[in-house]
Amino acid sequence: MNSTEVKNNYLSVFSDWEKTALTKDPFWIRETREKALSYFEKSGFPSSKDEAWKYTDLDAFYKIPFALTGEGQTKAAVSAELKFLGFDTSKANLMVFVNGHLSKSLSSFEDSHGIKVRSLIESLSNGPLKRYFIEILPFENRPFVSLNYAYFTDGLFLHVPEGKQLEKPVHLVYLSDNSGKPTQSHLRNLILMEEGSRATVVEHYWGNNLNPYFTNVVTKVSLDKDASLDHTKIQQESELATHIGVLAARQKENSRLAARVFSFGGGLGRSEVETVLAEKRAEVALDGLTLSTGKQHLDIRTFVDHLSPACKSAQAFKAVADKSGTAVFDGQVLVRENAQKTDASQSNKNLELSKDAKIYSKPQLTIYADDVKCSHGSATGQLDEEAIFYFQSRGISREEARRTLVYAFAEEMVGKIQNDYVKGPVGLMVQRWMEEEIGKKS
Amino acid sequence: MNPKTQEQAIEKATQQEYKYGFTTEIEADSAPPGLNEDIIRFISKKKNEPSFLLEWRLKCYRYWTKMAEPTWASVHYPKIDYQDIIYYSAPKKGGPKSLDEVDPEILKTFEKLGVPMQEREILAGVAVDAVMDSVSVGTTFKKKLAEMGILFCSFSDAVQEHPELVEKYMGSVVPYNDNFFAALNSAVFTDGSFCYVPKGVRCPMELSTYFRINAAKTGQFERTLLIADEGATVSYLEGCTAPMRDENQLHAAVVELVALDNAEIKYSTVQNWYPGDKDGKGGVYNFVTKRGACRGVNSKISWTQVETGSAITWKYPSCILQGDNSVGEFYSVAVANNFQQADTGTKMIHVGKNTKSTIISKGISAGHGQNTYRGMVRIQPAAENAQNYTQCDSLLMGDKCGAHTVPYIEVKNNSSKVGHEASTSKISDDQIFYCRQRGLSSEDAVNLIVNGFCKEVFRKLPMEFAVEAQKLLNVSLEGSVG
Repeated sequence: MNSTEVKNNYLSVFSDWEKTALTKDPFWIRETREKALSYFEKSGFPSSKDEAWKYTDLDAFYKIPFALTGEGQTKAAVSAELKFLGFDTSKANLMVFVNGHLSKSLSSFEDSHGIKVRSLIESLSNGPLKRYFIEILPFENRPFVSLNYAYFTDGLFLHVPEGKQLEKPVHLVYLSDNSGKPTQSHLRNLILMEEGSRATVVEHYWGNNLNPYFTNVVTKVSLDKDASLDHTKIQQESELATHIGVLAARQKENSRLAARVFSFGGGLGRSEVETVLAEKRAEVALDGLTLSTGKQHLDIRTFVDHLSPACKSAQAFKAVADKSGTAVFDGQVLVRENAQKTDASQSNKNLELSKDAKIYSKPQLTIYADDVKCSHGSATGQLDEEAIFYFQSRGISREEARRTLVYAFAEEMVGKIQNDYVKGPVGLMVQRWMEEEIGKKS
Repeated sequence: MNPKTQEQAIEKATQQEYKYGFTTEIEADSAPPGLNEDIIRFISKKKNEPSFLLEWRLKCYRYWTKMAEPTWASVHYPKIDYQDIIYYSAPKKGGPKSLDEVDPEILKTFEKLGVPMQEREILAGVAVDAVMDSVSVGTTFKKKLAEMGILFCSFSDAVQEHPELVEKYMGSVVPYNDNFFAALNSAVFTDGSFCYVPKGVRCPMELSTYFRINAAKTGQFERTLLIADEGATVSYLEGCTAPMRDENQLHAAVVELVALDNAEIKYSTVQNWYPGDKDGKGGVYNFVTKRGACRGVNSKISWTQVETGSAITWKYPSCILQGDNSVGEFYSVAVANNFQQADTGTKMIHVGKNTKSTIISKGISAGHGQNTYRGMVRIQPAAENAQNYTQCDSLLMGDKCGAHTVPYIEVKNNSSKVGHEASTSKISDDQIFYCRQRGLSSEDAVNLIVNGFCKEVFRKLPMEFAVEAQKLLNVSLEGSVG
């Protein structure tokens, strides 16, 4: 199929799917879905001529007929697998989604102290969440976002009231069951942080499926005054998967968002992070590590909108590309007219380990205010032969030396994680990646 | 520094009048406005061109009609009516053989601009191929250069005298279908400069061309072709001014450089087209395609530009580093004051082994000016050990202007090293205070700091240009910082 055929397919299956899958939806959600679909009809899928998709080609994605399915079963021994990955799930609110639907039997989570940790679709049926649902991320000209609006099935709803602190982090695990045919899931998370509240959320996409699948996720975050959210996304999809995800936040005065993206999996993976610093002294820290090997194409896109004065943003992204892997970083900082005293930094460092690996980096600054401190840097290089020689001269093999040096490069991003629940497991993932991927060849 | 003085300083600088805004009354031999195949045939016939060139023009025109104007640059302007432009305009008393035959009016114009055309300029060592509107009106030093085998003449003369060289190289660096404005230029270009430096010759003086848009409503489409054969070295200067006109004038030039084995080309530009008045009315649209190909081993192409003029600048002098060990350089100072918009940068395409490129870009935004650096560094898979270093600094003066940095970095070879750094800042109160404390006026302090900011680029300019560039910068910005 080509992009137009895939598009038409999405348009034509909607009414049938809506009749069977969405019987519980309130009216306004149905309305939103239809509106989003009409936007999608207008925009169609992006092509490499779209500036936002310049380096990410979707041809492979169009070729696979992903089916919309209902709830699925997973054969994975989820708790054992998570334990192997290093997570102590007894210390978290665990929510497991299979094919976009919450699996209650695999999950264990609860409300506490007025903090709501729930399934989004159930919360939408009950509460007046319309306002939060629509605002923050408009779907105009965002084909995958509008598709998500039209077809989303479930996700997390987290609401932390004023002054409350969520003690156990929320650990979201997304799996796909596709033993029969290629499947897709559209997930939607909504995180509302009221004044002075705090929480930690982990979005964890994971699979070792033998069939291709497609995950399309949108996470929206609203941070009120003094609120603070620590968000980590771990993308560990199967190498046959297509993963497209957006995290969109809106921050009020003095709020703080720390968002990290670890992209290790997926054949085609794209993670977008964007935030609007809507009120003064809001702060955001975006970090990420991409490990791309085989034929992976991993794309990171960030957008920080400095709308108000005295806000601070810091971005640090690193990527390692080995074999025929591709890593893309496209980051943008926009400083608007009245966002004086802005402090924005952006750093992108890339390590290219093989001849066929590709690195694309596009760090952008768009500045309309004069009293600002903005800088960005991007560097792409390879391992230092002298450093490898130093190791070898001390009896350490070339492979071991390379592994150590690459690990040292990547570890910095692990070190930035504040939360112990995530830090250990992510460190372990990076370590295992080094053992499996580096040193197979010199 | 007290905010009031700063404000006054800004006011003073932004209200600086355009010095070169006079027009010369010369009878012009023009084509009617509009663009169609007949006009192209008219131009070609007027210029007595060989048939291959007319065919090429028509091919370009036909291709151009199918193209859409690019919209990706961050510049905004009302739609250009390409049928309302005069594509051919030549001073009537054309064809002078020596300076004495040149229309005194034209000479006076150049004198006002300070172009060294008279004998005294021999001391300055500058050979000038001056282009007034579309036809080259006088070429000095031609003979002296010819003795060394250097061909330096107007493009029209080159077409007549060296058609084989023109046919071989024209369009080989910037193909006719490269982009909208290059295609337009290829179809309607009227004149320009041509230079060929033969094997092993080191050009003894700085070659210079001076463009000036004069007749109202004239688009200027010139073409420059510069070839440095094996082991040749040449330094080329290009300066531009345009008289003050209310309507917007279009300037779509194409510059092609070819450097063969061990050749070196240094191309310096001081661009001071009319930038429009302080309300953004009028001004030149400068949509230029400049590209150099380092075809041979160890070849080098260096672009230096100081862009202080034009209402809109859309310009990306680029280097294709094909030959092994070839070197590409880009040094740029771009100023956007009042309502000027500049979207400029470079492309460094690394193809050969051990190729090196350096990009130093300094952007200054003042008033309502918008300044964008847009640059691409691409390392192709075969470019072993390629190296690039990029530095883009922006200076903001005033809170209504914008500075943008849009680098594209594409690395497809793992033995290469690519680095990009950028910063954006304003002149700090501390810096001004420090200078004031030592007895400098606030304006001098600003000049000092701005010149310091641009020093890395000015250092790359030939002497006489560096002085002019520094002056121009002071004129366009005087005191507009605080």
